[in-house]
Amino acid sequence: MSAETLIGKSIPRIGSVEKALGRARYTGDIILPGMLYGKVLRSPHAHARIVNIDTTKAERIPGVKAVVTGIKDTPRGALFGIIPHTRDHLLLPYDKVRYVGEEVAAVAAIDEDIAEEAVSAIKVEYEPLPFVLTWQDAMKEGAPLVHEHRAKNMAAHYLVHEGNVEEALARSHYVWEHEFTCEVASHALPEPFTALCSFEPSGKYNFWMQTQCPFQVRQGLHNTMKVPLSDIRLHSVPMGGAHGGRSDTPPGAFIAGLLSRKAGKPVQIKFSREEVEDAMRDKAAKVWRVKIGFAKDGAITGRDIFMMLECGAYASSAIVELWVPLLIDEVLWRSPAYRYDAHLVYTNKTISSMMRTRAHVGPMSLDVAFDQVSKELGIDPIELRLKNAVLPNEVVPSKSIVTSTALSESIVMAAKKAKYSQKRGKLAYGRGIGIGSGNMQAMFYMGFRSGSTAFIKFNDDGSCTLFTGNCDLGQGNVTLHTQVAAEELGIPMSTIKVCYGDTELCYQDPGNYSMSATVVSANAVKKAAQDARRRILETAGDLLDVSREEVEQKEDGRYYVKRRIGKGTSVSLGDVCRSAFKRGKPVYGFGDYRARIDYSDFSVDVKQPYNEKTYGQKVTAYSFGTTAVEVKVDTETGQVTVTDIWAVNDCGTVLNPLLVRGQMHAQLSFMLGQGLYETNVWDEKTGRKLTSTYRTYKVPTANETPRIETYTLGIPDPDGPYGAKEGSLGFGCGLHGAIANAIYDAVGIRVYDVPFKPETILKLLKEKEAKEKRKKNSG
Amino acid sequence: MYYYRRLPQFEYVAPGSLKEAASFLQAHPRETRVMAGGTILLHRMKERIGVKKYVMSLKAVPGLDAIDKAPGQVKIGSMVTIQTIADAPVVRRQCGLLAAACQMLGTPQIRSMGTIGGNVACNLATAEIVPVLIALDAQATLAGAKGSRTVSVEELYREVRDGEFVTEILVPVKAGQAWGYEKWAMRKRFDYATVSAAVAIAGTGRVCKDAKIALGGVTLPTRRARRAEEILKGRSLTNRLIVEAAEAAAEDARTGADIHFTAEYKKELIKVMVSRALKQAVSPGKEG
Repeated sequence: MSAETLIGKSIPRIGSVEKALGRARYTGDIILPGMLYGKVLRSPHAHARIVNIDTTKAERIPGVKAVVTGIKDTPRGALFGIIPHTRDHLLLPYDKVRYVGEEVAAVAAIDEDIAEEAVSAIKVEYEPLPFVLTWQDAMKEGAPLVHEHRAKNMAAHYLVHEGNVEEALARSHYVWEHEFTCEVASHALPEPFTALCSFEPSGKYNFWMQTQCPFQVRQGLHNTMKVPLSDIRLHSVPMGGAHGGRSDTPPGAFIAGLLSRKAGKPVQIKFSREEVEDAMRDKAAKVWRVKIGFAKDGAITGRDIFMMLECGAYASSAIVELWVPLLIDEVLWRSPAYRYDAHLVYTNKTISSMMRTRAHVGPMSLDVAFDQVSKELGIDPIELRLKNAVLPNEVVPSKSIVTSTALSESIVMAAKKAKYSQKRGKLAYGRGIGIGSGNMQAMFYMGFRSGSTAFIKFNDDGSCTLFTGNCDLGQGNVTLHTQVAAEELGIPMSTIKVCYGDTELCYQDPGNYSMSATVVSANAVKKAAQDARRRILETAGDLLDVSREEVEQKEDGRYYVKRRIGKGTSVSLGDVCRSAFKRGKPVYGFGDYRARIDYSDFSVDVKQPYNEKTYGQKVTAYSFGTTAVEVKVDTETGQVTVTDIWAVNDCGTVLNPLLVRGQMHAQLSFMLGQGLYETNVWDEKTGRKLTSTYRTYKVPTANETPRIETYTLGIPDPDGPYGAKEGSLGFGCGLHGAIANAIYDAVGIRVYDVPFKPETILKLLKEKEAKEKRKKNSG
Repeated sequence: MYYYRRLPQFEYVAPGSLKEAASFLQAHPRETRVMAGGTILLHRMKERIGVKKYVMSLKAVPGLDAIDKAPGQVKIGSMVTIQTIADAPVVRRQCGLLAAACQMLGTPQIRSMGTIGGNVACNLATAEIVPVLIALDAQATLAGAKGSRTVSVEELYREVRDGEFVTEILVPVKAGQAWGYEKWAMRKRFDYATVSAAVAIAGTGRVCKDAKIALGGVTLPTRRARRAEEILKGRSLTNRLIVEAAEAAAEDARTGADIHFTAEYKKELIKVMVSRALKQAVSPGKEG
């Protein structure tokens, strides 16, 4: 094998040049012969019964090839939901519509103009129903029910209670409590949703669409279309972002499938920006109430958490969001007694799903608590954090073992790099510094995911194709998997091509849920490459007349007999592949990796909510990290600007520093947007979303990006490939806590509601000034 | 309906001369939208707002895309793009306020497509160049079938009649004019001004002979902060006076809530923006 390792090398992301030059071919660039254009008719009502749909006029328009409605064209009662308990979603409904923008009917025509005309010729008779837009309203007695069978609009409930929290808090030296909230956020995916379906007369549906987990999406299509899994193929295509918003089975794909079958031609459905923002996915609004008990020495004695989560009209993968905040919160900071009581509530809004940064109010609540409690207890805030930070091999309340963590190291390093202790409380008025930590799980079980299987096949010239069910959303998974295979095989990365996410050619993979691409998928790739290498050495041994153990690969990439003086005979990988073909012993590699997770005690395959019996190892590896920020507060307008970020990432071994750095910048930018700029607004009268464009939904740009310093700790994880964990999310999940603390340091006000809006901050500043004035006058 | 984003059907006409354009518009005054850069018009048509039978582009009309220096004024053709204005040395030298505001508008793409004529003619509260032109006392030339006439930009919307369109903006050049421009938006760029303030001050030293203050993001048609202007006239621009004027401007301004901000907060922002713009005028180069 070549002496030089690829691990730790900065390798540019494969495919980025094509994307930057506009040459990457996305789903919307694919045109198939005879392809039709689909358009969806959407509900103008937030909640209404569908009384009648009349499509006769639309069907008569020349150029219209198919019109579909829920009642005529979908299998009865075939509901989508990522677990049986939450199967609540007719992807083309025939009973009710539950949010503005929901799919009602669709048309395929020879061009987009005709499709639009035809869609507007469909007459729908609705019986409008009262609707609810917030969880507070949704839970009131007598509130309109989004789903009739769910009383009080409760979609699901999840409870973990370990130790006696009441007693622990009662005995505590000091109890701190507060409520935190975060608003609905958008994924704001740059590439609008597009699905192309080509139905073959054999009964097969070929799909091209953006997805971050092809096998889960195929499962959803299988459940709702009622056709065998083998009749559904998802092809792999380059993607423009996902961030969790492309995890579910999209109604748009389901409808493209119906239209293609009916018209007998390929059908493309492309959403406008407004359709993406209204009818794809959002991140759930959250309320997080926390009570934290502290001992005199600063150690946390117990934590009592109550969480409300709005999932919008359907539970979708928001059900996962009910659970993930626990996986984050219970792991970051130790808590001997612990209660996590979480509720998922339906509202008549855009469906919420998973999103990166999903649990940020949790980490934020603890960081804000540390900042305040340190004063009460007279303990330095860094010391207070270190006292409570989880250590390697600790067991968390729900009984997972944290096998690797450098949380403490990341806190120390971020504080040092930012000169936190020197600056805190000493910067000029309007400027402040703060610190916050976060973490993330790499690969957790959800009742239907476990491991990944990879396969490598070789060509006669020694080049090869790697098949993995994982996919590349932009973060560089193809680069990662190529790098791992090249490292194990000792061959150049350029000779390895990756076929990813094709459900027909690849084996099952969890997809890009919960950061499993490194810890699970790459481990499978590594094992596949090792398996191939064993076969290569065996055939090389055959050719060199020695056993496999006597063969070595030298720096020139060729295979030699070990311990021979002089050059000796050698064979190339091409020789091996050609000869293997002749001998009927093809070279290939097969690798399977199962996550180190307790499957036994946790089952969601029952028709009841998550319950207490959910103890056990939930996650393979946890990543951690800490960010320190400096902010500037405009005391006249309330606007907050983050000027500097120091970010420290405990992502295990750094496989590719360039990609990790890129991912860190991306995560910080994402967090910054949700922390300071992005707000979704609904019209209370109509239930319509008012922020469906980039003009009104304010995603920050390069102009808003602060100076960023990134650091990695490089402490290996026992399970990850070469010791790597995820490097994109966990480290940055504490950014909102850091900003909240920095705002306090700058101007002395506390903020608990994300995003931190200028108007709110100005109001708090004025209140504070008035209070100080009163104090001065009375004193 | 709300989700359709394809352009609706319309007839496109592109007259080759001013005369041709004027006579077409006279023939179809209520059925025609005049298009300059199209950055606002096409977007609104996709939203099905103000769709008419014809779209008349001024692209092929010669002579509307030049910036000329004339005695005492700079003439800017209505088809000159915002970016061209921001970059033009004569504008930067003679009308720094206009160049600064142009550079802060939208994105590079929008600045390169959007024109000054379009920004002025669309009559939106969010049109960022209009308050600047009002503060600068600029005039607009209107062409019509009966010839052309000149009106002040401030009076433009009251003055313009069916069949007329903007061909030119005339910006007076005044020696010793001090100016300030402040725009507040969630994003530094790539955003509409939630509120903005443009101020132009005539005078020597700190004493203000004349002041013009115009606001963006307020309820139309009142863009001028006249009482604030009066407060400043003939007096020395101390910080205290600036605050007094800014407070008057905010008090008088008519603001409305939008989806993100309340009317009260916008008033507060106007106070801060006017005060900062005035401070900028008093000591250029320093942030307010």
